[in-house]
This record gives sequence, C-alpha cells and structure tokens, in this order.
Amino acid sequence: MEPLANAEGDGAGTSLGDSHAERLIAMLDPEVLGQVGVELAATLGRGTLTMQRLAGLAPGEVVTLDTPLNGMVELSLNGKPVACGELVAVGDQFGVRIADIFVRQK
Amino acid sequence: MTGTVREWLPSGALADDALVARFDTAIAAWSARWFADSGLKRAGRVQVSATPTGNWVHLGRGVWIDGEPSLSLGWRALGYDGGRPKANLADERILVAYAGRIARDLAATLAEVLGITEDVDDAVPSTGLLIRLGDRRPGRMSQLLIAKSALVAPRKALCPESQRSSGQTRALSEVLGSVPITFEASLGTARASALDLRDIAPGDVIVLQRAAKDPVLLRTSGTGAVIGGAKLVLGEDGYLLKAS
Repeated sequence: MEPLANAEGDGAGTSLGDSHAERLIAMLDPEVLGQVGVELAATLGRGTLTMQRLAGLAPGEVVTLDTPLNGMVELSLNGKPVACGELVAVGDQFGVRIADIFVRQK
Repeated sequence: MTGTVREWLPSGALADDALVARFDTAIAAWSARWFADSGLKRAGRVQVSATPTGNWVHLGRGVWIDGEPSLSLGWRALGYDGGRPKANLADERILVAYAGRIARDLAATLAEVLGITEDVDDAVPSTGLLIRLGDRRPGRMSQLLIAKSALVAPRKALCPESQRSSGQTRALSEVLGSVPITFEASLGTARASALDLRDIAPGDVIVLQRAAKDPVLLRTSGTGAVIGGAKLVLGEDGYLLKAS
C-alpha cells in the first residue's frame, strides 16, 4: 500500500524528510509498526466567528461552519489530513467509515 | 535637513503642524551649527520603533544614544567626507569627544523642542522614539532613543486634541470584538497503531473515543484551545451544530 500523505499538495508530503520517513517505515518490521501508537483527530469542519459573536453565543444557537455539514469527517494525523469518511454511529459512539485516503500521486 | 520631522513622531500622536515647524527649525539649526562648513547636505534620517535594541548610553534629558558617538561624526563635522588625514590615538580621542559634544547638543535640542525638562527614568527605556542618524550611505548610522515616558508630558502639552490625550479611547472589548477566530469542530480522536494506519482501506470504520452524546468541541485552529462546545443534531436538511 502506498504511504499516506497530504492530498492537498501543500508540500507536506513531498519533503526530503518525508521521503526518508517513508523509507524508514518500509524497512520496519510490521511487528514494530504494530507497537507504534498514533492518534487520529476527527474534524467535522471549520468556521469563523468574531470574538463578539463567540461571547454572545447562547445555548441552542446554530453554529455555522464554512463547509456544509454533510456528515463527512476529516481524519488528520499531527495536523495533516490523511483520510476522510462518513460519520456513522457505532453503538453509543461515533465512528468514521473511510471513504477516501489521501495518498501521494506517483 | 528638512522634511523628515513627521517620521519622528510616534503614530502621529505628536503630528502637530506647529510642532513639526519647531522640529524643522531646531534640527536645521543643529545641523548648521555643526556641519555648515562641511558641505553636509543631509544630517539625519529617522525611523520610529516600538522595540528599540541597542547598547544605549545616556546622552541627555530622556535621550539615549546607541553606543558612543562615532568617530566619523567628528570627522564629518570637521569637513572631511572621505579622504581623511592620518590620526593618532590622541587625535581620535579628541574626535570622539567632539562627536559626543555634537550628539549631546542634538539631545538637548530634541529635549528642548519636546519640552522634556528632566529624566523620568534611570534605566534604559524599553520603548521610545527611535531616531537613526546618518547620510544616504549605509554604515554611517547612529541611533538615538527618546524615552517613551519622557514623551508623555510633552504629548499632552503639545497635542491636547490628539486621540491619545483627549481620552477618546475605545473599549478593549470593542476593539477585540471584531477580531475573527477560526475554529474547528472537533469530533474526537481515535487511537490506532502505525500498522493499522498503513493498512487502512475505504470501507473501514474507525471508532472515535467519544460518546455520541458528548458535545462537539470547538477548538481554535492552530493552538487547539477549546473555545466552546456544541451538540450535533440531525435536522431536516442534514446535520446542525447547536451551541451548548
């Protein structure tokens, strides 16, 4: 499988450092990789509020985001988007069904 | 030297026509006093800085200079611009002392124009009006600093109508209220191994470590500070975020 990288083309996935990291990951034993824990952050979207609006927000008021809330969630690793998916319920918890993985274009 | 006085004034707070005229006159007189015979066309140019750095030496009432007055200032006052005679150590000491006198005279001139009557601080000021002296060529610069605290009284006396001294201040909340904050609606996190992440495929479901009833956290972009919470509810047209 191809390594995960930023599909936005912001340069984060094309640096020399990333190239070295990919080679290192390829060399690592899967057992080792299985012991390395990572944390994925799920973000529903982004928005902008003025401080005045933020201070005046009352419970129940709708908070609007810059992108439509269509249930798509972005998963990022250390601030870099790695995948996106659909928001689903898993018992009493939220889950993300992976729809797209941002991979390096070769 | 003319036409630079407005640059000497911090944020226009002292941009008063009468004061500008007084600056012009005073600096021109100082320039003529020391450099009239040297053919010097321009005795200084200035900049304003809120964060002055330098090795400041006290020069006069509220006025500091970065380092000792330079030898070149003395040479130029003697009319040498370029080819100078060879000077021994004693000559150079005399020239440095001469340059110091020129600089102190400028400090006194500035203090007089601004109405600075006494030093208000013993220590080197952390902020002030920064003045860079020199001609058009680089490498001949010297810096003067007028302590901000020394400028308070002259500002009030000379510019009673200015925004700063007239009390026409804006409430901090009014100023900050219009500042936009970019935020992210954070659903939570999921822990996985690097191996899991490497092998992830479309259709896989990643379970987040947050109960569905927990609020969505609104975090500032960049710093990640939590600024609020919201409930994710399903409306007729899709999901809605409601402040909680």
